[in-house]
Amino acid sequence: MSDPVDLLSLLGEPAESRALAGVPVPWRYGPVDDEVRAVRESAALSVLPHAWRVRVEGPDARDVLDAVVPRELYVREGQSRATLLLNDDATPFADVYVALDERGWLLYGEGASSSRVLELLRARAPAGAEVTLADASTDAVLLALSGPFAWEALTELEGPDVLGMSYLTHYESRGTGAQVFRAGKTGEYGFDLWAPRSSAGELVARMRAACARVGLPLAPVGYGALSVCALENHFFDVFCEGARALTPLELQLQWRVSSRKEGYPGAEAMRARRARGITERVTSLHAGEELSPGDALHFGDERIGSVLSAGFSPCAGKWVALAVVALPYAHSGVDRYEVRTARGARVAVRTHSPPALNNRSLAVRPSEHSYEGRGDVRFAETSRLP
Amino acid sequence: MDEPLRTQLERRQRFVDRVRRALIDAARLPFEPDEVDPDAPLFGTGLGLDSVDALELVVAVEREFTVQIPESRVHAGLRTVNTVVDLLLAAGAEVRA
Repeated sequence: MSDPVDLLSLLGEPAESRALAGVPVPWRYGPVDDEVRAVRESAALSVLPHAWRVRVEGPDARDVLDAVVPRELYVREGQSRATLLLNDDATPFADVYVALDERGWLLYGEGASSSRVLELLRARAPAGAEVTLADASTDAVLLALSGPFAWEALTELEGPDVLGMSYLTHYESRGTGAQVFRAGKTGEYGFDLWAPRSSAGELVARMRAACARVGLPLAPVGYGALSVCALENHFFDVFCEGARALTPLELQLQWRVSSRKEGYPGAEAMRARRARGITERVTSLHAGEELSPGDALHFGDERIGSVLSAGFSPCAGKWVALAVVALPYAHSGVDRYEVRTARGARVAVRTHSPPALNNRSLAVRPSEHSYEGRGDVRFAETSRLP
Repeated sequence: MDEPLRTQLERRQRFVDRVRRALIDAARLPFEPDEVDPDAPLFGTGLGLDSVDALELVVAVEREFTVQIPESRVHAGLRTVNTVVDLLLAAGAEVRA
């Protein structure tokens, strides 16, 4: 198995690293604000050593996966779908994509580990299932490329066919040996590259050279900035809001699970929770002052919720947060709540409809635009926050 | 909860409920209304709407609420049920109790 320290320094020495699921991950290479701006304005490259990937192959592979994934497996070869892996109490422990390629099925994601996922697949496999389960992480590393001009970096490396990739599709790159997924959690153009560890350094060097040829800055970006971007765009972060005892119903992730499918871990708990009804729901909010996870949300003296995750959005110029809020109060457009922080401050907050930003990627047309010619792009005002 | 807040939140809920139903009908989604989260992405990942669905949704909510949504606001505003509600409120839509 490769030395994890090598992966940590793959894009350069991080200024700070943190452990995610027990694995050291670059948190930032410089100021987080600068890295967030790189994701939002040009192109950013991240290494995610904590991500895992498992292969599920054989005649009964689909049935084995079906017993664990809470979503119907309507996936064609070359496609992927976002879903979750749930505990028996229906709380998510992993944020995953399920994909089908010419060899069989793939499951990759964040949260937990490949060994835990393989153990779950084995435990829930139908008796006598003919299936091969393999950890496909040990000889590979996940690189995430994000930004309104991320496609330009990949096109320069791989050729123009990349421009035709639909969201949540994937292909095997002959040139780099990487499996390339069009996916991401920032709201900008995004590509996940599962690259062989033995040649990951070379891939990074080639990508940097490709970007230099077209004058595109490619910034190394740590998980700290990716976490802020996910918060700005209301993407689920399994290490933030996923750390609380909330189900997809409270987390507003019903689209990731089936309301009709039975038998997967957490299915009974989901059915029971639906029947009872939820009493709280995650709601986006923002403020002009610092907010922190655990801060209490109030309407007057009535406590109505608490902050799950928070971060400063340099593009919106405000603190954005996700709070779990008592259902009657869990609505957008309210400016009468306040957060009472652990340090004793009372901060006026306003709930909003995410995303917090107008993503620049929505205005960029890869067939016409380029980073060097970005002056021709008509970008909307960045912040959507009132 | 005081009365002004209750009025505001109940009004918002009525908008969310009507937009959910309009979305399910326009895009022929196989969901019950309470299975459509107010902040679930409409396109790409999420509910998986396409551009035709988007057009049908705009027509449906304009008809349902008797308003015209400026074309310049549609592209950026059609992200979730909640952002559609925001568009309608900005366009002066109303919904009876």
